[in-house]
Order: sequence, then structure tokens, then C-alpha cells
Amino acid sequence: MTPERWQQIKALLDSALERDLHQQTAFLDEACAGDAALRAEIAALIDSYARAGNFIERPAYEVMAGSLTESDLVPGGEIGPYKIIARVGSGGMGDIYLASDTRLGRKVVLKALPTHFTKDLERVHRFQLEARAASALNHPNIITIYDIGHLDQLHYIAIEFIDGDTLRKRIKTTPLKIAEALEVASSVAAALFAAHEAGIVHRDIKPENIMLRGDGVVKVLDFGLAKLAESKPSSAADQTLFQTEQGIIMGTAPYMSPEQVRGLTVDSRTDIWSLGAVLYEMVAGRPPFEGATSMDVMAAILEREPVPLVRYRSTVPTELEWIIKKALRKDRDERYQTAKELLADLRNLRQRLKFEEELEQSLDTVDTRILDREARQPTDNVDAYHAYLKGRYCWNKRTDEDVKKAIEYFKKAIDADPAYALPYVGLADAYIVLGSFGIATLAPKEAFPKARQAAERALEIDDTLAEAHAALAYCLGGYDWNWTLCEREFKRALELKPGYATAHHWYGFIYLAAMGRLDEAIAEVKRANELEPLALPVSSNIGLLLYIARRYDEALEQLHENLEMERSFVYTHWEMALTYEQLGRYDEAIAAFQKAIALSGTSTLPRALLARTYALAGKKSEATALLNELTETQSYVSPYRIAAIHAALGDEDRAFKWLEHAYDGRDGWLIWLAVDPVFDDLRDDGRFTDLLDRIGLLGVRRLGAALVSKAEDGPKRRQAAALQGGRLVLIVASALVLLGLGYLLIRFLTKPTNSPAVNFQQVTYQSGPEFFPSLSPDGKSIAYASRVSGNWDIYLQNVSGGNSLNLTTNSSADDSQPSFSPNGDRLAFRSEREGGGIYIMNANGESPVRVSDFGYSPSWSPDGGHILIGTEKIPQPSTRPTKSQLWKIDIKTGERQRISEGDALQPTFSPHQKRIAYWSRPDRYGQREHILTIPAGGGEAVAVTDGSSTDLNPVWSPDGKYLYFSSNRGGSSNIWRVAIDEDTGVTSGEPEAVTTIGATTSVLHLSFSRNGQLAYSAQTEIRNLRSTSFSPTQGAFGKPLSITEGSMQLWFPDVSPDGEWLTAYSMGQQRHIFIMRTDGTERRDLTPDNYRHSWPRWSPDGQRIAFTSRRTGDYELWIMNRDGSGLRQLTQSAGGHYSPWSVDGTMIAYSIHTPKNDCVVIHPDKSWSDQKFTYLSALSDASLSFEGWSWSPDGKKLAGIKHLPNGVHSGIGIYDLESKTYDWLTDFGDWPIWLNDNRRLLFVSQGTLFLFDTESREYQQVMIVTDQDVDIGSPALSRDNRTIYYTYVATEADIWLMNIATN
Amino acid sequence: MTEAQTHELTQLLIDWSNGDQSAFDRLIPLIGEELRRLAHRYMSRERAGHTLQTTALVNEAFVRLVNRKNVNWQNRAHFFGISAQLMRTILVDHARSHACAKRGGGAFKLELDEALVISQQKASEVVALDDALKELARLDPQQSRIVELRFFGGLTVEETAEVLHLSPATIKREWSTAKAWLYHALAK
Repeated sequence: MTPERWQQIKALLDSALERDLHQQTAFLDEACAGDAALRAEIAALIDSYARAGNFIERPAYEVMAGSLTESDLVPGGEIGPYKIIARVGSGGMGDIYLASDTRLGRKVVLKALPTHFTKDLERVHRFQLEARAASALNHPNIITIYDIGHLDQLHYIAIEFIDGDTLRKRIKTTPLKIAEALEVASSVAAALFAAHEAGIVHRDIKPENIMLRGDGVVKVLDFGLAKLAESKPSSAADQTLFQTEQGIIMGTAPYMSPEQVRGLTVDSRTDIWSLGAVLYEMVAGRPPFEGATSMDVMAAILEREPVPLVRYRSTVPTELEWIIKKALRKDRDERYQTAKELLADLRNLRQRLKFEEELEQSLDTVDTRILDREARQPTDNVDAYHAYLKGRYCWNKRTDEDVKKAIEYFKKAIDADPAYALPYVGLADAYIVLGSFGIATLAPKEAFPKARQAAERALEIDDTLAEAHAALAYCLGGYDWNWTLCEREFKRALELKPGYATAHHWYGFIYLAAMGRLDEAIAEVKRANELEPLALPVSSNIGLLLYIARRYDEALEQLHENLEMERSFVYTHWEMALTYEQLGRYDEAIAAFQKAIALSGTSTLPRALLARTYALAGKKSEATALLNELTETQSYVSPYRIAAIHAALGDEDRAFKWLEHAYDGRDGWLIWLAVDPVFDDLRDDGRFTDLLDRIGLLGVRRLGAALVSKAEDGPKRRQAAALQGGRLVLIVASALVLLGLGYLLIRFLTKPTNSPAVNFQQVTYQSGPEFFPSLSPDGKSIAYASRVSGNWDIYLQNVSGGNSLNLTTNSSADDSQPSFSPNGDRLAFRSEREGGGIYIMNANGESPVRVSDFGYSPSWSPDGGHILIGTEKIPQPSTRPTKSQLWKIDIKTGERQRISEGDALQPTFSPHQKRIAYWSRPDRYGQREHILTIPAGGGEAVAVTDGSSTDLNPVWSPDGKYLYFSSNRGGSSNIWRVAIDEDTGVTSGEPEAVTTIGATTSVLHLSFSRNGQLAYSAQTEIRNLRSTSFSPTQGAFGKPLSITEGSMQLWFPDVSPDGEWLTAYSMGQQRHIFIMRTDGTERRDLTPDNYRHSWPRWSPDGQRIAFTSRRTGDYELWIMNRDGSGLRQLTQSAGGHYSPWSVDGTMIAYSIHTPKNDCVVIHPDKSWSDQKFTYLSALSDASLSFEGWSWSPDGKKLAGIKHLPNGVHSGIGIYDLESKTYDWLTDFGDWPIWLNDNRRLLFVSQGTLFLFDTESREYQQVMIVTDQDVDIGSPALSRDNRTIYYTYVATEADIWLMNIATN
Repeated sequence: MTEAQTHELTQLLIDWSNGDQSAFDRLIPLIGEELRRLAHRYMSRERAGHTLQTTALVNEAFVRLVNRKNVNWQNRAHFFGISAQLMRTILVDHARSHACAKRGGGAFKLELDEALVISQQKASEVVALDDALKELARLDPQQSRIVELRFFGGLTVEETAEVLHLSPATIKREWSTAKAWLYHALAK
């Protein structure tokens, strides 16, 4: 642009801004007279002006005051009677804070108003009047304004604190069900009605102004505040300001009524319109009126009709379309005239839908995938959810080891989200299984109290959780023998969720079987099997029940069937063995028991059962030997089963003695005492009856006796079962008739899906990372890269499970980054063989052919003729030194063409071959990796994201309408998507999150199949502490020992001077300082509060620990005693970290970056005001900084790290305190520590520990971690230098599949 | 600040106001330090709730630092113009060092230290704005001056009008269009 051009544009812009909004279009048309480019430029500038809001209105110094010192309101500061807790955000109208009302002790939200607003006294006055009126509104759906006040120039409002999310956030994460949308709209309508009655119009109803509290209550915000900015605008420029200053650009415009757009006066019907627009968006997922600029949106509001909802969601009832239409009538006389009318219509519709829903639930739906059923997500924490699913998967395997693993996973889920109820149920179920007679590795007295506690905790969180009721019921029956309560809980579980298989399973297995109602028991377990045919424990229990019912042939049939399904399921084998035993087929029984023993790990059950068979088979010596073995073992053995052995040996007294033991220990088998075949011989003994009585099973005794004689009556019983079934059908049929057969059938057959739009499925489970998934176009198979064989290879696997096939097993070079061809017959990939390049092979791994001798991350063109590559690998994005170029390779001819000038990685073609998407590294300070698209043949790049957060890995949705990518906006790495035009690359709307917050998991490497499934690699780093012995003279190290395990994420260990204790801190949501012995025992959290603490360092006398803490809101140094007491703040200058002590204990070197980069020596025992600061001398290049990390033993030198402006550590160096000079030793490496010889340093780089000799200035490798998925964190040396402590960081990555259904 | 230092500072200011550009370069770190210490005191806890008046701060800084009689201040405009320029240089430099936050070993490793990221957002905005403002200066020096005076110097519309000898209405108009252009430039 030239200055002349700018003057021309400026003049026109000026005139345009002076006109009213709706006149601007006309003015532009006239003034630009055909010069489309000019018009576009001015329109864009008008738009920018509208969006600018507060931009540069506040002077720079005040804006940056936060970086120099503190901002106006800081945590801990006070304004009036309110004490600030934290800043929680900023809206268009200023900053928003969470505060505490010190008079009433309750939490409030404070909105601080921008100072430049409050300079207009008239505005302030009007605002106060309005706010007062609004504060008089007293309605459950209107947020209460408590107070307005000011302190000097700072005006604020105190508002009710709502623990919940805005509707905007909620819509972004999951689309609402229609019923939910109606509920929300009804609440808002009720609020509007109350306000309108009081004469107040909201004027700014939109999703950002509607809050959803945790318990579901809806609250409308900002009543009365809309008035603040309105002050009879003198010009259209001000009017634009009014519209945008209230909120995010584009946030307000879509909800404006036609009369607002026109600048006419508003009334209550304006609010009704806006509510109609919000309701539309809740259902459709997009607002009714959209456009590229606010001007376009406003034009749409005035002139166009919204797209019928049914195009977005097929299940929208026509009444809802009609309601919204009426709310969105452009002529306000034709709209709902009062909110009450709208509310009435909404309520009627809601009632009707509720009724239909209840009807449907009475008919069971059948799900066939276990994990699919678990896809209801009452948590939006992805870590918790994944952990829970993994736990369930392990639990279903029913072996001791797997169930214990499941417990770990459930605990992890609870850590990630303590308010998520399902993992507690998982825990309860896990303890149940461990303590119950199947696995029996935990004594019931150990397991069941825990199980019950977990189940009750789950019920505290959510007492409508059928799963928790079922778990509780099991405990009540199987352990407490409280049969009445047990029945009640089972019935409740089944009532809440008739489709919950485990409830049916356990109801039959525990309650009905104990009660002797064996046919019903079998029916229930069969029902469970229908609901979950893949769950082995269920189907094998059918066999067990048949055995108890003496229906031995049927039992064997059932169990053989199960064996077909899964040969290694332990239950099947011993249940079969028991049946053989009853039939007298002892040899087969013994063989089956042997198999069970081989499969059962630590469980003693099969051996106990086998001993009885030996006894019955006359093999007394084997029986006694096994019996002795069992009585001597440390593991849990069921006393009941020992009793059974004695019974078989004919020793009744011993049998009863052991039954007493069983009773004392609450052995789970006892519930079947009345019906169990093994004690048939003892039934007539008085001691037996007495025992039954104590267990509450006396009433069952007769049934049990009857069973013994009825063993042959098989056919009769089957008839009875059929009759029962028949009765059931009759009841259902009459229900159908009563309720309208035809309607019901239609509803049932069409099965409307109110299921969540997204569900997850884990595809790979191996340890170690699986990267770069590529889905075949038909969505049935998936290729990925894994190192499990020792080098990187490409594996192929069915999406639904099964074994994976190593496609590049013959290649000893690394092969990675597979990509399916568009017709699924071939895979392109990167290989390091023959010098490295891009290869193509058949999808079965055969015939690899080289197509290029350079390039990475290949991706196919939709016509299968070309492959796109980037020229750079993707190690750590922020440390790439060069640019990656984009090339296109013709597969047939090998001809190559460079497509882009700039930096481009991981390119992908759009589905109709129109454009290519890729990501690029930042090209200026402050920017991050961002996504762009270019036309398929090359050309000008169009930005998709702006680099304000890290966005990577763009992939196109199969219909080309969305671009999905991995992003860390929103706080941590997740999948986001943005609507995009495949031809022009222009995006519309804001990016929205597809997966939700996972704090420690990163989501990477996306891949789509044609039918809309998205695969991704979910990566976590797991940190644990290790130690290794070290020989300082030879520089050799020993075998690494694990100090910690599990998911505490401990790192930065520091060892105490006496060598006995370690401190470290945990890196997760919480950052706490921990202390433990050097073998990991006696671990304690020294800072159990809500603040973040890091980098603990021992004092040289081993009595105190210095560390960095954010408890004041800024990072400062603190000291505490080694037991956590005696907390003392050491610094008051914000932004300090690292606290290495000198050997004589008089100096701590601490590093700051605010206000500028410095390293300062301070005395740990003096107070802040008494400190004599010794600054290290300034570096010649002021953009670098030196961070002190370790003092030399003679106290004369400080070893530290060189720190670049972009945050990267780039080498170690030494500062000499006497000469005040720096000596840079290396340009790589981190965390250097001195050895006792005052001469050598130990430091770490890229998974290797090095020794640097400051005299010879040479370095050598000391310890290398060969596995590339592992990294080493900072080392610590014991005082005698004979042990190194360090953090071991393993990367775990699994591939997940996400089904993104389009509603 | 010692007497020797005040003396040095005054001399530098004199030299600069007499046209010695290199004196300006040497002034920056000295005045920057002083401004920061002042700002720190200004913003310390005892005064919470008092909003920072930028011009007051700059005024105070100059009064404390300088023996005004020796410096050739031509008029109020000169004074404010210089201070605005000075503020801009100091703040933008400071922002540049802050705009690049520490990122650890890679985008997917967790931040090692958030202390540095506190105002990275704000800092990088200021840096970007400075770049854009330089571009605007090429197109329209007067507008750029207005933005510098108002945004970096903290002057009101009326004060800016007085310094530049223009009407407040003109200032408002120029401000609006400059704002639009700058926002547009930054959003690209």
C-alpha cells in the first residue's frame, strides 16, 4: 500500500464509520463504484474496527503493568469487602475475577469495568440505575447481582458465583439432546418473563450469557449490563462500539434481532428473538444466521430465513421447528408477544417428548459391544475416561493380575477426576472379583469392606448409577448375607438400567441361586449373556449354575461352547471339571483342573477343587498332599473348599470345623450352602441346619433337599421355564395394545439416536508408543508404527481387534509414517533403508518399491496418482533449525514438483483434490505453529489458524467441510476442528473442540477413514525416579534401580546430604513436593495444598528444603523444614526459580526473568529486606540468560544453564564469582552438577548422561538410554558421588479411534 | 540514585536534547531502571486499587531525574513527545524479551516453568503492535504519532490535541481509522 492509497481509503473509511450500520453498505456501493478491491478493503477495515473493541484504548504501560509488576487486581488483594482469589477471564467489558466476600464468607464473581468507560460519568450513572433495577430481580434463573461499588477509578460489580459452564462452552464440547435444549430454553424463557414483568429487557441474550450450573440449573447473566454501553450513540461508529464491546465479535451479531440491526428501539420481543436464535443453535450446532463478517450476518438477519433444523438433525420434532420459526419472525408483531407464551409451548413439547422417552425405556435395547456401552461419559476429562475404559477392559479378563491392574487404572481415573462416579464402581467391582470365589486371591474380609466403601462412594456422587447399586447388592448378599437389602438393591439396579448385564448376572448368580430359585437364576444369567455375549464370566457362570441345578449335561454343553470361544478362560475349565466330577468322570475332571491350574496364576481355587476330586477318585495320598500344601500356603485359600475336601475324605468333623472357619471369614461360597452338591452328604446333620440358619438360608433348605431328588427332572423344569417366558410375552403384548401398537412399533423400529455424537474406542494396547495411525478408507483396518520389535516397523491390524501384523518385519531399518492409498490397496511410508526415502508397498506388506529418495510424512492425492511429502522429519517442533519444503511426486513417472515456498509439514490433500493443508512453524516471535492451506497446484497460502496456540497435524474430514487438527488451545493437547471451504480455504466460525481436556495426554497424528472415523495417537509421558550406582573415577554406572512406580509423575530428584532421603516434585495437575527414602519407601507429601510447588533442593545440613512455590500467585522461593513445617517466604520479587545451596549453606543462587534476566545470590537466612543482592554480571548479549544450578564444592563457582529468549536451553557454563566471568562449556545439555573433585560436571542431554572435565575441556558419555521412547531428567548425585538419582521418562502412546457420527 | 548518577543522567538528557542521538541509547537502560523501580513502588500492595496514571508516572520520573532548568525543553509538546518515544522504546524492548516464553524441549512436553508465560500474550501483542506502527508511520506519520502519544504515552484525546496543535475531533477521527488499520494489520 502506498501513502496515497491509504489517504484515499482513510477518507472513505472515515465517512463510512460516520454512517449508521445499515447505511454503510449503500454508501460503500456508491462510493466505491465498481472498484471491488477498494470496497473489500474498506469493508474489512470496518469489520476490524468493529472487532477492535478495547484494542489500544488502554495505554501500553498499563497493559504491560502485569509483566512489570502486578496488574490492578491481584490474588490476595482486596477491593472493598472483597478479597480477590484469582482472575478467571476477561470479557469484552473488562476483567472478571473470582473473589470472596469477607463479610459473608461466600464466593462471588467480580466484574471490573474498563477505566475508559468509567470516565463518562453519565454512562456510569445510568449503569448504576440499571444495575440496581436488575439486582431487584429475584428469580431462580437470573443471576443475582449483589453489589456495585468502586475504588478510585476502578468500578466493579459483584455477582453470584455459579459453579458451572456457559452454554457456549457446553455447545462447543457436546451437542445437546433435544430434551436438554428445551429445558435450557424453558429456564431462559422463565427468566425473561420475570424480567419483562419488571420492565427490564436484557438485549443481549446469547450462549455466552447463559450459565449451566453443575446441578443443571440454568442462570441468565448480564441483565441490565447491556445498558452500560448504550448512551444514545451519537454516531454509528459509537454504535458499532456498543455492539461489540459487550462481548466477543461475532458472538453478539448472530443473536441480534432485526430491529436491533436497524437501530430501532428494542422491547421484550427482542429478547424472544434472541432466545429463538439460541435455541436454534443448541439444536443445530450452528446459529441460524451466519456470515463471513458481521455485516454479512446482519444482512442475513434482515433478509434471509434460517435453514430448516431438520437438515442438521433428523430427529427434530416439527413442533420445535414451528416454535423457533415463530420466535424468529422478522416482524415483531408476528412473534410470540410474551415470554410466557413461548414458555408454555416449550413446556408442552417437553412433556410430550418425556412421555415418549419413558415408553421406549420399558423396551430393552440390546448392545453388543462392551466398550460401546460404556461410552456414556459423565466426565469431560479424557484422562479419567481412558483410564476407566482401560480398567474395565482389564477387569473383564478376570485374572488376579489383570484385575489388580484394573484397580490401578480406576485409581488413576479417580485421581484425574474425583467427581467421576464410574471408576469407584470399577473399584468396587474389582474388589468383588478379587474377593469372591472365582479368583479368591484376597480374603473376603479384606476385599468386601473396600468394595462396599467404593460402591457407597459412587452412590454418594450419583445415586442413580445402576452399576453402583449392583455392586452394593453383591456386597450385601455375598458378604453381609443381608438378603432383604440385597434383593432391594438388585431390584433398584435393574429398575434404573434394565439393560445392565452385570446386574442381571449377579442378581441371578448371587441372590436367586442362593435362594434356591435356580431356574430364575439361570434365566437371569442367560439374559445377561444376551446383553453381553462377549463377556466370558457371564456365559461360563451359566455353566456353573446348571451344575448347581444338577443339570449336568446342559452344563457341559454350555461350557464346551464357551471353550470354543476362548480356550484360556480359567473359569470355564474348573467349572467343567466340577461337572465331570459330579458325573463321576474323574480323569477328565483332573485333566480340566490341571488346565485351570496352569491358567490361574496365583489363585489357589483350582487346586482346592482338584484335591476333592482326588479324594473322590480314591487317590487319597494325592488328596492329602495337596491338602497339606494348601493349608501351609500364604495365599488365601477358601475354607469352604477345604471343608469340601474333608467331606469327600469322609471326615465330617473336620468338614464342619472348616465350615466354621468359612463362616468366620465370610467365605463367598457359603451363599450356596443350601444348594451346593458338594455337601449333599452333610445336609441332614444338625450342625448344617444351624449354619444355614446363621447365614439366613434356612428357608432355602427345603429347596436344596428337593433338588437332590429332582436331579432327573430336567424336562419338566424346562417346560416351567417356557411357561414363565410365555407369561412375560403376554404382559408385554397387553402393554403394547394398551399404549398403541402401531406407534410403538414405528418408534422401536426407527430407533432414533439420541446417542452422543462421539464415542471412543481403544485400538492398541502394547506398552511403548504406537504412532502415526492411518485408517484404511473403509475404516476396517489401521496401520501404525511401533518400535516393539526393536526398530520402527509398520503394523497392520483390524480396527475391531485381533493380532497385528508386522508388515516390514524383514526390514531392519526404521519404517514409519504409513499412509493408506485412497482405494486401500497400498501403503506409502517413510523408510530409512537404502539411505532413506519414501516407499510404497501393498497393504499386505509385499513388494515395497521406492518412489523418492527424500521426504517424510507421505500422503496420497485422492486420485491416487501423487504423493505429497514434507522434507523434514518432525522431532520437537520448537527446535527445528531448517524449513521443511512441500513436494508432490508423481507415482508413475517419479517426477517431482515443489509446491510451496514457505515452511510446511505433514501435508494432506483435501478429499476433492482442491487444496492441501499443512502446518508451519512460527515466523515471528510470539507466534506458534499454525495451519495453512494452499491450492492443490500451488499458490498463495491461506491461514487457517493464527498461531496464538500450537496447532498441528491438519486432516480433512471425508466430506471436505472440516479441517481437524491437534491443538493446545484450551490448555492442553486435544483434537479441534474448524469449518472450512474446500475451494477457497476460508474458514467459517471459530474452531471447536472435538475431544475434551486431557491434562497429561497429548493427542497427535490424526487420520480419517472415508466413513468418518478418526484415529489418533494419545501420548502420555510417565515419569518415575531411578537410581544407579556410579563410579566417579571410571565414569561407569551400574544397573538402574526403580525408586518409584506408578503415575505420580515425580521428577527433579535431589538427595539429602546423608544420602538417606530424596525430595522430588510431582508433575501433574498438582505439583507437590515429596520426600521419601532413597528406596522409595516412606513417601510423604510435604505440601498438601492447592498451590503449585517445584524444584526442591536440600540445605547442606539436611535440615531444610528450599523450593519454588506459587502460593502467593507468583513464583517465589520458599524454605521449609524437612518435615514440611516452618514455611518461610524468601523472595518477594516474582518470577524466581531454582534454589541451589552452596556447600557452606550461606548462598542460594536464584534465577529470575522478571523484570529482566538475572541470576542473584542471596542468603537463605536473611529476610528479604536485609538481603544484599549479589547479581551475577550481565551477559554481553542481553537476550540470553544464565540460570545457576549447582555450586562447586569450594563455593567459588556456579555451574548453570544458558537460556535463549525463545525458551530453549542451549548449553551449560560456569560463572566464576571472583573474576565475575562466564565460561561457556557446551552448546547442548542441561542440569550440570559438580562432582566432589571440584573439577568435573555431570550433565544430561537427549537421554544421555555426560561427564565434563573442566580442565581438559573434554566430555564423555556416562550412561545412555538406548530406547528412544525414554528420556532422562535432571540428575542428582549423592554426597559421596557413588549414586546417581534421575528421572526416567517413558513415552506411552496408544492409538484410539473416534466415531464422529453426524446427527 | 547517587548524585553522580543523577549528574550523568542530566548530562545525557542535555546532550540528547541538543541532538546527540547516541546519548539517547545510553539513556534508555538508566531511565528504564528508574521507571521500573518507580512502577514497582507504585504498584505495590499498599496502593492496590489505585489505577496507574501513565503520565503521572512519567512526569514523576522526569522530575526526579532531571534538573529541569538545564535541559532545553522547548515546549510541553516536546516533553511529552520525548517521553512517549522513550516509553515506547523501553516498553517494546521489555516486551520483546518477554514475548518468547520458555517452551521446554518441545511442544508436547509440559511447560517447565510458567512464571515466564504470565504476560507473554500481552508482551507479544505490544511487540506486534510496534512493528505495525512502524508500517503505519510509513503511510501516515501523523497517525503514527497520535497512536504513539496516546498508546505509549498515555495521553488523552485532549492532551494529544494540545501537543500536536490539532482539534480533538481530528484526533478522534485519525485515532479511529488508525485503530482500524492496526487491528487489521495485526489480525492478518
